[in-house]
Amino acid sequence: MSTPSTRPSLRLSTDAWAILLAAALGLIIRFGLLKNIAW
Amino acid sequence: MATSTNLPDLRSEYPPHTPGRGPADRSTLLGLLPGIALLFVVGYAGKFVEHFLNTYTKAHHITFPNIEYVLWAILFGIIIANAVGVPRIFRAGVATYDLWLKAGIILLGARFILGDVLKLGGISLVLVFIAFAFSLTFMTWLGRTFNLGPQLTTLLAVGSSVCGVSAIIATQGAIDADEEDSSTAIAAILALGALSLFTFPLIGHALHMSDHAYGIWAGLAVDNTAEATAAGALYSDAAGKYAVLAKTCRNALIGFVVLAYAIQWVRKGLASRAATKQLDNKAAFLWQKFPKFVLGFLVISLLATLGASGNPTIAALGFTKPQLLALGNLSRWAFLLTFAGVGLRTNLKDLFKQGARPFIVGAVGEVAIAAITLLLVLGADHIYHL
Repeated sequence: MSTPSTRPSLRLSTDAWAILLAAALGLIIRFGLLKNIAW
Repeated sequence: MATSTNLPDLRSEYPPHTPGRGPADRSTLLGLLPGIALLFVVGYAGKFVEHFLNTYTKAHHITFPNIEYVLWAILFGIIIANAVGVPRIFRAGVATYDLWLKAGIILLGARFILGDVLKLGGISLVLVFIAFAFSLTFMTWLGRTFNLGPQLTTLLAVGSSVCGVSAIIATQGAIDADEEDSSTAIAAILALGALSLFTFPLIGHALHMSDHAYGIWAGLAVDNTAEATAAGALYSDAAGKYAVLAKTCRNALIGFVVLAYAIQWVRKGLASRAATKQLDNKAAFLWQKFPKFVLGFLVISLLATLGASGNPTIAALGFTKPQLLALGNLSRWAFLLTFAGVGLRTNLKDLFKQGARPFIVGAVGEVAIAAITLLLVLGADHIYHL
């Protein structure tokens, strides 16, 4: 019999992770927490 | 312990054409860091070499073409992956190149106003439809001529006309193709994508193509998203931007193409019961196959457009110019990691290991598709001044 995992799981698709990452960066930039990103 | 949270599980995608040679077993945040650091080091080494060569050749009055960092990053990646191999500890992190690609595309929305997206996206969509109809017919005929099975022919046709690896994986389930057909089609598409990185910029320069026209051509003709982005960026930063836009339009069509194939397979009575059941709810099927990151790109582009509005109330909802600049640069950094990943996951041995026939069918088809899309783009450039 298999034992249910007790590890917290946040298994999202790569698309969802990419959207979350971009949203977080967008908010950080929008509220001025990070400015002047050089390239 | 830093974290036990599961992060994007990209094991199946690394490298996509070598099943059974996956990265580290666990995709924990800590487990991803070495590989992400490697992507950064390889990408930044490319950027450093571009800068160094430019400065050196200018200081010594040497005439030398500007070679974008993209090429160096990919080359360094290929050398590391094929000369010494990517050690196990780095593999999970290197596999995140797909995440950086998608995040980079979403953030690239900051460099487009919605009007441009609609205009160029509309033109791209029309060109995609024409190129798609052509490539589908041509590849199917070519597959039959070379005696390839119907499944492999279909996968090659979808891979070369829609969007490379993701389209092949999505169609594989719909038409019940076996793993081997899918691996062969993916290997052929990736090998040809790698070749296009070196040939497309040369053709673009020989024809003196504008950044707009070249970018759209690369986006329409190069199959895999990462390679299409790289082929565009190899020409110029602006061309990379337009290549992503055209490629994103192609990606958005993936659901419709897979659905059409699935229906055709069911009608012929070739589909399994599981594949047939998937078609019960067509809207859910389309949504499942739709690349959701495209929505993120549109939202950022909308916020960029609002920020440029003459009405201060509306403009306050969007991003300011310095903010857009910052987001655009973040997108460039994300692509830098992607390009390093493109090199690091290119396994030359595996690419040459595939059978000659699928490769020939893929190569002949790709050359024809590249030529047709080039003519289409040059025609559209003439009419619409892209």
